[in-house]
This record gives sequence, structure tokens and C-alpha cells, in this order.
Amino acid sequence: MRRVGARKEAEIVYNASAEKLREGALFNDEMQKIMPQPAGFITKGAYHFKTHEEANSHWDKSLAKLVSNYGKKRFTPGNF
Amino acid sequence: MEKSVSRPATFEDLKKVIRSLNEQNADYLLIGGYALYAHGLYRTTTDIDILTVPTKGAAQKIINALLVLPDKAAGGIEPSWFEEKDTIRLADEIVVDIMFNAASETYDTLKKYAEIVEIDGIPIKTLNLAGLLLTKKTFRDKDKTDRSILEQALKLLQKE
Repeated sequence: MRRVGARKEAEIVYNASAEKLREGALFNDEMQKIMPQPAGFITKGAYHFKTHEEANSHWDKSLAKLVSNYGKKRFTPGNF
Repeated sequence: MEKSVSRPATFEDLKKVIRSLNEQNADYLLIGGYALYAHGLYRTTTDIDILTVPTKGAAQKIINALLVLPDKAAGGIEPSWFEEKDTIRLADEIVVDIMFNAASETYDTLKKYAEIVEIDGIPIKTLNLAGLLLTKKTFRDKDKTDRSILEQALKLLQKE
């Protein structure tokens, strides 16, 4: 493997670190800002799931709906 | 963004939620994407995941704490849901997933791995790497990826 650049990968640590949590959370904030579309997709409310699978399925379906809506807006005829 | 859907959580949201949980003396452990950050594993996340105990006492504290969020959606959580040990998803301005087990691990089984980090004067209860790895032993693709990285890191750390 040829290494290009000198950027150091983040080191993984055994004990939780406040600095790493801050750094990761700020990284996440920046990533959300550069998303091409708003990344919120769960309809507001309080939900109760019998299983984790059900909760995961709700998450995936909500995400699929966002992607589909985004696609519809983007590919409306004349919107190129 | 549509007002009817939650937006991604931010660092400020995390601090607000945790501060409120602490003020209510709620039993919780921060798991999921934000907990991974505390160990140097950075990937995007949009929600806050907490693990708590399945009792009505815990329910009231958690509900009160989450009423700090602007839409007050926590008012729609039934305390009895906690005793059923099911997963609760609160989609307020941001999403908070409230869990009672993660990969069959509970608050009680994970307590021994608990650690507290302090950010801006806010103590945050989370897990060490070994504890966090236990919560990732699920079938989800996202967890498989996290688990693979955590397992490799743990092996390297144990060699040191």
C-alpha cells in the first residue's frame, strides 16, 4: 500500500475521552451542514416498538421516504 | 426542512439532553454514534441513543428530562412502555432513541463498563471500549462495521 499525504488517522482509545467526544460531535455537525439535502426524516412523535428490528425498519422506511421525496423534487421534468 | 420531521442532532443538542438527564438524576448510559466519538471512531450520526432501566421510576425521570426539547413530544411517552422493555423513539426537534437493551446487554450488565467524561461542566455517562463493543453485537450492517473496527482496536490496545 502506498501512503499519500501525512494526515494521521484518529487514534481509537479504550477509555472514553471528553476531547474525542467533542471533536467527533463537531465533525458530525460540520458533516450535517454539507449534506446536499436536509438529513432529518423521522416524522415527529413518540414511538413504541416491540423489537429493535421494528425500530430499525421504521428508521429505514423513513429514510427511504426522504430519498424518494428528494428524487422526485430533483427529477421533476424541466428541473435539470 | 419540513417542520413535521426531526432534524439531525447537534453537539449543542447532546449537551442539552444530557444536562437535563443529569438534572433529573436519571439512570442512563450514552451509547451509539456519540459514544463512538468518545473513543475516536468518527462517523456521522443523526440521533442520540441512550440505554436506561425498564422501570416506571426511570420513565418519569427520562420523560421529564426529555421535555426540555422544544416540541414536548416526550409528553406522548407512556411510562408503562418502559416496563414492557421495548424500544422507544422520541422524534422531537431531534430524535432520541431510548433503549433497555442493546445486543441483549442491559443497563445493569453494562454498569461495570461505565465511564464519565465531562464536557463544558456536564458529566456524560458512557461506556469504555469493551462495554461499547458489547452493544454492537447485533445484525445491523452499521453495527457490523463499528464492531469490526472496535474489535481490531481493542486487540491492538491489549497488545500495548
